[in-house]
Amino acid sequence: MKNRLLALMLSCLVLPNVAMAAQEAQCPTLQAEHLKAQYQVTNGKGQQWQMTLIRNGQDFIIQRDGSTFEEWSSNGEYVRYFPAEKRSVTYRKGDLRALNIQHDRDQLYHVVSPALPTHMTKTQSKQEACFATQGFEGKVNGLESELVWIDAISLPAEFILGQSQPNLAYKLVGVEPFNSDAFVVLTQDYQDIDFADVGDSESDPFIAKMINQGFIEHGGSGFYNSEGQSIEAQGGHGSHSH
Amino acid sequence: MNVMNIKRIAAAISCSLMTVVAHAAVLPATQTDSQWFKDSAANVVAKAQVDTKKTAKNVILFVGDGMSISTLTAARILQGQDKADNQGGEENFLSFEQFPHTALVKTYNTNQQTPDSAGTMTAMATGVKTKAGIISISDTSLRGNCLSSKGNELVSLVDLANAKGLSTGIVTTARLTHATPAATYAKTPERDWEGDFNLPAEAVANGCTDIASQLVMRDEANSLTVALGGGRSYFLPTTVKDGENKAGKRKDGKDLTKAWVDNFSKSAYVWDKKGFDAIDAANTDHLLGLFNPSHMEYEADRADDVGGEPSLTEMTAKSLDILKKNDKGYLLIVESGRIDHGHHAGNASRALTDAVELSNAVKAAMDATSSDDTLIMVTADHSHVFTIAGYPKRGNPILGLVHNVDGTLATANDNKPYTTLAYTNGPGAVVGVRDDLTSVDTQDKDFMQQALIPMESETHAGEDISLHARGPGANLVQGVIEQNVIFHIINQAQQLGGTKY
Repeated sequence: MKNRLLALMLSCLVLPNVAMAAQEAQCPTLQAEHLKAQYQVTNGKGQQWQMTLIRNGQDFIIQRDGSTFEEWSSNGEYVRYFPAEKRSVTYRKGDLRALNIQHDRDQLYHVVSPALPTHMTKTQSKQEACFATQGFEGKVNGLESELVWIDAISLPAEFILGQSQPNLAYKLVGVEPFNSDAFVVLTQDYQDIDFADVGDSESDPFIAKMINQGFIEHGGSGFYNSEGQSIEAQGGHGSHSH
Repeated sequence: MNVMNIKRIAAAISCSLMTVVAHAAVLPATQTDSQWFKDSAANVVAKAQVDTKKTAKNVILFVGDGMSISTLTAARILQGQDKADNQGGEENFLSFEQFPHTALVKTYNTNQQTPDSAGTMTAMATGVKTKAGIISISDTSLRGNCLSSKGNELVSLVDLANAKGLSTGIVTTARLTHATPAATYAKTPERDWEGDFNLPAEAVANGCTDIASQLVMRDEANSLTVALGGGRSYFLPTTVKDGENKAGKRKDGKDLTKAWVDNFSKSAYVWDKKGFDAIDAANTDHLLGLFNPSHMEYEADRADDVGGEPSLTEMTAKSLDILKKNDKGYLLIVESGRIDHGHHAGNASRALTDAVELSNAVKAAMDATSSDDTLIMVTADHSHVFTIAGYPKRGNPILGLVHNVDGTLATANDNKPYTTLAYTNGPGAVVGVRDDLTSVDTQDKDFMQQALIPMESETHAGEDISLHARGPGANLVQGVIEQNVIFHIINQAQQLGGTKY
């Protein structure tokens, strides 16, 4: 198992900052719609965690910790998976609306809003490892910020919100191809429940635990603070956090 | 005649004279000329003339899942306020609220003070209360234990109606395999055994079958004439993608939609609005409609559905067109399944919009039938912790912030405004400081009402719900009754053979 993990790690594309000198020949062909990208996320307190984005066409998965991962489908469904319990909860479009949960799909798909470059000023363009990158700087949410954008895969190599005193920073640490079959395997054999049915399933120990502890994240920015709360949604109407 | 009797007669004559006098002079004109007075007097005159027949050829039972009495009040005001000539909205009645007979219904399950839909619908469908989570199996069974259910299966209204040669139909906006509709045709000790993939090894070993297959794999004589609702993925195998590009969930490889068409005469399966509209009732004797992989959309979101869905009213009307062909009569059970879900989500707008649509469906049934031969009953399975509070002025938008009679914005002790509608618990609860709603559009359909106790999902409530009836046998609907009495009213009115008449 460890060997497989090691092989997987080695097969990942080299880190943008570490392996600038990598040969182009070593760069596997990447499709923007079928990849797995890993980010190192750092918050204002210096706390760090990993975030993984996996794209399969217009469907995608985001994993922020080991206990859950989330899938957004092109049909508007949102599914939260709990790997340890092999359980999942599906929120259909109507459920999300009824709960007043709004996700910025574009931002989640691109880690940052793909519109950011149009609001920022271009800086340096570079060839970093396997990618051509374009730098940007400017204000985001009122904070001077920095973005290094990889157009080929429509993802940031780096994004720092608040340059002088970073509030949040995303740094791409690996990216690799990820095919549809592998994507499907990730979500196979989960016992799924519609969120609409949660209220009628209080006798299910898993659901009972979740009803009492809370298991969804309200908000829509795609940026999460160290407590897992959306940093743009705080204080917004209807986005009661708990 | 003794002295006492003479005194009684004198007193009676005296009272009689007083009544006449009261009509003529005691009540002032400001009272007797009031439209309130005139309307209510006419209402009583009409009630005195109600003559209810005893035997019903047809029965239609409408169930609003989670349609508490507060839901009825709020829905009638919402509907009333949508009318151009409204006088505030409170004066409105939902279609069934003017039925001549009403009762209050006790909803508890045998093991729960506040019930779930499986136990409550079992009570209505079989005349027997049972545990929460159990579907048309008696209370002696253990939930989720197949072996313990054997020999404890209950005969439902649908079974009895089919045995009598009537046509039967189930319509719902939830999954057809969901607890409420399932209790009318299936028998299982676990409401969650909706598809074969939900069955544990114990259930398979002891011969329990999933709810979806129980709907389809029946003898033609005991088949449903109409089954319309959601839950398509429970009827399709994993290898088949539906019209909305969603794969089925069945692992046994069975395509139950195909089995429906193969097994029954003059049968049809439809999955979208276009196919539904194309159904010719005259030439269809068995109609299966599965309009969503899971529950159908809320009425408020129906227009956004990928494949297009019929409304509850349209499904009811189409069902009646097909069921009416049977000269012996029919039994139709219609569930508005998502009132419950709207409440669980703490979203009053969607819950109430679905309740109004149920009222529309009842109106369609009233228009399509005669009260001389068709008993229509409207009820709920259980309540929700949904409240109508404060002292809003007459005509205050039911989804809005409370405004006092003088028009000023009412505020709570935290100096913030509050809505008329709220929940005791649920996702709308705020830990810490309550949101200031001053600049929030609380009438937006996505607004989540505030709640007291934080819970991921708002809960059912334990108080009574109501039962409304018109048509033959409706006179049996009176007083405060146990929920299982509903079975006996239908059995009695339609003479289904479940007990003596």
